[in-house]
Amino acid sequence: MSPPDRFGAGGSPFDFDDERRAQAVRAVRLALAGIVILLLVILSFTMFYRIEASDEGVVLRFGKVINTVPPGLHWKLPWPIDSVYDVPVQRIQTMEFGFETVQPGRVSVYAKQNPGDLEVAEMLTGDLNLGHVEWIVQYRVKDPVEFLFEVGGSESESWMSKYSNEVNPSVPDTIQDVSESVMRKLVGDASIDYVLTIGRDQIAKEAEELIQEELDNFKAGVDIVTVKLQTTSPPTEAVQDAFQEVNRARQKKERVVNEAEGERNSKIPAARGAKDKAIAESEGYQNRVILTTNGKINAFLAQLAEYEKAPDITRKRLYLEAMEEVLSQVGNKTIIDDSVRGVLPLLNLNSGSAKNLGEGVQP
Amino acid sequence: MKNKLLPIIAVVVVVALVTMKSWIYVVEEGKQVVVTQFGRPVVAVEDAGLHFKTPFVQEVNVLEQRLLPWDGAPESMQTRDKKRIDIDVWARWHIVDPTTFFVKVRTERGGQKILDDLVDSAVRDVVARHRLIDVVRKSNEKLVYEIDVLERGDGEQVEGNGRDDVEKEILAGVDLTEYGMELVRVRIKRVNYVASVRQTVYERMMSERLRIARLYDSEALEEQNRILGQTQKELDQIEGEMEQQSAEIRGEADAKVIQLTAEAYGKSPEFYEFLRRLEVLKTTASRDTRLILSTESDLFGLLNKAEQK
Repeated sequence: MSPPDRFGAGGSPFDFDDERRAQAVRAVRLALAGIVILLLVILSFTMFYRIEASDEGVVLRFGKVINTVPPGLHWKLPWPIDSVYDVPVQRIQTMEFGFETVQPGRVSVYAKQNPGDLEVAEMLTGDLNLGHVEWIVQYRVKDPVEFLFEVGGSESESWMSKYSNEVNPSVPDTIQDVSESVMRKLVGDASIDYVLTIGRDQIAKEAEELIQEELDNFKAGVDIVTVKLQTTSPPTEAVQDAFQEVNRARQKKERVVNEAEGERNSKIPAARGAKDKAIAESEGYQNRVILTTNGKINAFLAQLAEYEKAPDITRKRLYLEAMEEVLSQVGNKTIIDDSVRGVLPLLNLNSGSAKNLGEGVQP
Repeated sequence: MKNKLLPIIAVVVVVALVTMKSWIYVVEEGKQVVVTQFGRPVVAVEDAGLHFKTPFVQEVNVLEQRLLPWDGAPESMQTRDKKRIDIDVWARWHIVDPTTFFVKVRTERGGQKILDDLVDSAVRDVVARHRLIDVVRKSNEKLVYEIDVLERGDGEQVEGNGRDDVEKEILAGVDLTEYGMELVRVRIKRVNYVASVRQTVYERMMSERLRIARLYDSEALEEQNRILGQTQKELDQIEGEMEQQSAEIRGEADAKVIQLTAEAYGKSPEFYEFLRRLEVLKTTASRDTRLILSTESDLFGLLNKAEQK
């Protein structure tokens, strides 16, 4: 409506001859047409919009939510009637607590731990020890309208927020506050051991639930995808060394016990083997001596049976045969007449032989 | 008629468009508006959308309807059991009565300032009423340790729900109705010992761990000695059995030999003796033996002797 009005209003003061007047009117009309086209082009820019594949659009008419639209090309009434917020509903955002990834990649680069991160990570445990806990929280927008319009307050100071590139930086700021208090509450109700080793998964799981619950109470419109504990360690290096010392001592204990068991395992079977060997040897001895004895006895009994048939001659024969054998074996024989007595002292060169001789002769 | 009316309508429309800003306003979702007339609040609008006001005399003041943050500075204070701690709390609040809020507080920043004063003092009051353990823990659930040596039967018991109660008491201790505000949540963000105490905590943790390490060391020796002692005991048992059994078997064998020989030789002891003597004679004589034979005890003499028998 307004352009023709303006033309009418602007046209009236002219007072030239008809031809010039008509010319002027044509020129003005042309210019006006151009302006209208230009306006339409500009308008169309504010009327068409595209929602990215991972996003959802929230359409406001005079500030009131009227619709949410899926990804694709859409049109709306021109500004200032309709406006659209583009909310990344698919994108998963990661927040880091107690550490900072400077440059993610195959080998991520982490920032040197600054005092701020240490403050975030150091927390009291239920046994009033101190622990160092780093963790991440991943979230996704689940309700773009709530996400935009339920939690606020950071716009005025958005330059202070780490998340100023977010559509609504107040939400990540809130997630940050909630995460810190939830993590501390859980760690504050657990032992240092539970936090450092055995309870890590459980703490992460409970944290996820509690953070989600609190954010749902705030209608933050986000879904906590995951909470994961990263480094959990004793607070300082000196304390860490002391914890390490416990591990070392525990491993040493295991080693010493294993070695002792090993020694036991190597000695006991050997001893049992030795025992079995000795018993087998004894049994062998038993068999052998009995057999030997039986042999001797049988020989004797056989001899006796024959001997009893002719005792005298057998006795004599046996004696003579024995003497023959003895005399043939002995290399040094001396036969002395009973009357020769003076010889004996001279023979006392080898008393051992003399003894043997005495025994051999007496019977 | 038509020609006369057209310019008038046109003028009205143009004027209306030019002055649009002064009689139309938009309340965006998440915001609320207090309309003031010469500075005096006239109406509060909480619904988003297009609204009208009297031009020029009325002004629109936009306020947040959304949940608003508050983050206190870390404060150092003392618990009931005289422990000095640094405590950092955050809160969430919103404007429930925009008119009152606009009159008494006016801006968000003003609201933050009120919270700075009120929450801080509430935190001090509540913390001073509780022991450190009540601020840190939230239940009396048994603390689980990896090393059972550390398990303490009955540590300090927590009163009620510990930290949850502390937070609730702080929340209850802050009344914001007169400012048109409502405190929705107060949470303890960080609790820690003051810096000067932390070092002694580190030292306590270290000494506790070293104590356990020493315990493991001595347990290792205990276990080692027990195993080795048991081993020696079993070895002695095995070797003793070995000696006993072999002695028994050998003794049995020897006894059997005695029994058998006694039986057999008993049939003719003198013949046995005779044979044995001959045997002894044979084994006694060797190459180095010097044999001196008397003519009196020569072979004949011996034979005679044998004959006599």
